[in-house]
Amino acid sequence: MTKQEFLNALSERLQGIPKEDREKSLEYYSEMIDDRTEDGLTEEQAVKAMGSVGEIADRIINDMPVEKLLKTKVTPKRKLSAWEIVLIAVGFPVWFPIGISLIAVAFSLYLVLWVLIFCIYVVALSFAVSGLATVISLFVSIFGGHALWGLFLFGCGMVLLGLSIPVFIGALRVTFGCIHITGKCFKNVKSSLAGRRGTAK
Amino acid sequence: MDTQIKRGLLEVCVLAAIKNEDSYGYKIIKDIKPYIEMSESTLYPILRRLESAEMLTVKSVEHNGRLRKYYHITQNGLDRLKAFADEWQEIMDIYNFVTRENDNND
Repeated sequence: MTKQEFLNALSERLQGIPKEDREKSLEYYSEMIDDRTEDGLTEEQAVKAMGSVGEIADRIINDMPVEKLLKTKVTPKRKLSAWEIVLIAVGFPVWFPIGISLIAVAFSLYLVLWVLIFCIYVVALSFAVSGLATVISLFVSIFGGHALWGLFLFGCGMVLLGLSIPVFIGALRVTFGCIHITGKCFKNVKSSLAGRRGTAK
Repeated sequence: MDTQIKRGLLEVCVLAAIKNEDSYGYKIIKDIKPYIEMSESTLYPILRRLESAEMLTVKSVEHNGRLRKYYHITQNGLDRLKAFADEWQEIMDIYNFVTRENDNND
């Protein structure tokens, strides 16, 4: 691959990021290849030393803040023709509410997920609290002269307390899992915003 | 090596490579090479990060009929190096404690 081919391929992969950042990246890699050829490598070798275009592009895109990617995605690459603007304006009452509601649905689904997780914590807490209360009531029962009944309650209380522990640990696990998945989704959203998913080589 | 630690180390190494005189991308990689292996694609985001954190400034200099970017360390960058050295002095003390020979007087 020649230097120009490499830069063209990289530029193609970076269509989804702002022009200024794209040019900076291209300048950087161009300088790197030039410096290597000056150091005695052939152009072919120098380009090869950079690694795969796909990986380089993925790295640059992942380093980019989402707002920048979104802005590039939303801004049209060419001037819109008059009838396109009219169409967008006339269609506004249709596409705007649909867009908003799609975002709202996605957001509420995500919210529901966290509410469910919150529920698990509530269950764990209620096990713990009711368990404690039952254990305490043992003493009340003993002083009231119902020792056997108190013993039964004490057993129930210990079971409840015991149950709260695995439930709590489970809730913690799910929470971390959810945070992990959120991070992953975020990365995928970034790549898809920047256009083609870069495959190696 | 832990990736989080490595990332921090790479940033500091880049700053250290331009501490005494301004340098350019390829030279930075070559200067660091004996200590840490760094590829072009690793260096690029680090330079951008250090630039936006105002730890270094960039200027283009004409070289062989093309432009080459030279990186210059700022006071912020020097402060970062100082903080790194102090931090690691503590870690080295702990290292010495952890790896010390058995004391004979117990």
